[in-house]
Amino acid sequence: MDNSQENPQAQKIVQPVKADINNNQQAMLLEIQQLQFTAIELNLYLDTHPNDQQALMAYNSIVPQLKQRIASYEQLYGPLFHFGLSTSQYPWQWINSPWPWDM
Amino acid sequence: MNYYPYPNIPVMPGTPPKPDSPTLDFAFQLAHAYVPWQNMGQVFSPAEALMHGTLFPELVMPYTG
Repeated sequence: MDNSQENPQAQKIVQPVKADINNNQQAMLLEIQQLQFTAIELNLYLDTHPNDQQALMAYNSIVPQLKQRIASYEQLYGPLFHFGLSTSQYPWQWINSPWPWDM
Repeated sequence: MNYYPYPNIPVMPGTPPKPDSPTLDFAFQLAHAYVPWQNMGQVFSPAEALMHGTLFPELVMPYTG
């Protein structure tokens, strides 16, 4: 199977997501979840296909996109992670609602 | 037919007795499992992937039972 000419980053037409997006915070979080899921999928695929350059390129292009969106989100809405993976503005923001899993 | 004894494992009803054993020993017959090799082709966009629960269109298998 020759997939060399197919571009894994080619974006198909994105169907509207069923979940209600009633604010910018939820929309940004959803986009992070989408990129994170894509990273997980490519990660698992690469675990069994470590020599697949196409998959590795896709993974390596997703990672900075994910990082950038996490940084943008945290700038506006506070830390997404605790225990050393995100910084906080003053005062300590982690205790503020909603937590990422409450949204 | 080859039989391989698993002495400490409970036995499914109907499992044939080990042919050469005078006692009521039971044995499992070996089976073969396989996973076909996956080759990455066109993949979903991140939004579609999260909706489908997989990045890979060939793995979209909605449960209809």
